[in-house]
Amino acid sequence: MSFPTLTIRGKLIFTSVTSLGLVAALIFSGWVGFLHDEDMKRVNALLDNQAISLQLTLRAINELVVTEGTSTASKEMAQKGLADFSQALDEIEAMVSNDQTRDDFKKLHEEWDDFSQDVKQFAARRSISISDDEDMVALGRLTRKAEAIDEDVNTIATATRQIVQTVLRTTAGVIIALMVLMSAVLVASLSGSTAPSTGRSMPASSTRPN
Amino acid sequence: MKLIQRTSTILVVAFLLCMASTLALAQEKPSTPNSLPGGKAISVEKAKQLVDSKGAFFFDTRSAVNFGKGHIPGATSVSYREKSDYKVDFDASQDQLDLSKLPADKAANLVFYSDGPKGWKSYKAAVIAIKNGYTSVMWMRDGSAAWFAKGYPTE
Repeated sequence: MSFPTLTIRGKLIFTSVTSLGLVAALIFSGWVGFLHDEDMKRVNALLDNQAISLQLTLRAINELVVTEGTSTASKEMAQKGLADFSQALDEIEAMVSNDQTRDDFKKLHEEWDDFSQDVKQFAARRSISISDDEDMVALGRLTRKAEAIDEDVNTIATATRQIVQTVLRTTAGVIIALMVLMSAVLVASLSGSTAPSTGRSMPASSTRPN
Repeated sequence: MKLIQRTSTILVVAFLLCMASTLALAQEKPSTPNSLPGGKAISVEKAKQLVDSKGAFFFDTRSAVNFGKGHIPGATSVSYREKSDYKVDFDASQDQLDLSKLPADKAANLVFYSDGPKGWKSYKAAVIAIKNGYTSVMWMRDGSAAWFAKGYPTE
């Protein structure tokens, strides 16, 4: 790269403006990468919270079975687990939903709504007994649904992490490309500022001492 | 040198003891017999055909919780409360089975299943059904585990 038609002043201005633009782009790319990194941390925390909320709900259900449906604290724990999971699900979806994960989120929402409904109905039973087949079948169904939800959350977690990793890799690629471009511009401007501006180059022999 | 020999001997003895106890545990629950006296042991594939053709009543003898987790479509839960020994001449009086869930028609096709080849509950339920006059009793010996492994539908 060389600048044969520009004056030294022109070259300096061009180089400065170009460098400034590239630095700005570099900062912007870094900022985008930082934001995505923060998003990933947030999403990871939310996914962990989701898993905890699901486990909390299941624990509450098991406690309800053991206490034959009489424990108010267990019912409240189940309600809290459900509320926390729903909140985390909405937040994650708002942060990472795209064409790739939209269907997964839709499926998870449906499963979750169904599970929540069943948990509320189970907790609302007047009495729960391990010798009552109907109660135990309901418990088995809840367990199966919870396992399916857990599996789908893991699928979404994997997909989400891949998406964020891809964004981070792309950002890193853009930053590297900009740095290469900046270096090329600087090298070109420095090499171009000596030869054309003097109009002639010194012969190699003239540098030798007599 | 003696210490090494003694340690080696102790380790070998401990290993043999572990192996023996593992074998003893493994033999704790014997496999069910391959056939059903007075009835018919059927494969999972045959059971699938019966489900598709609605050619039989299916009875799940596992615990109600396991039934709730997933079962053959259309199956009825008849939890077999088992206290008797794992043997062909078990004492049925020690166990509980809700026979009222079986159809009134004694000639109806019945299929009993539990977890798998070591699931004695379905075998015992089938034997009790035969003793109670049911004439077309089938037993899916490979159980729900084989059904799930085949990827057949569940509900």
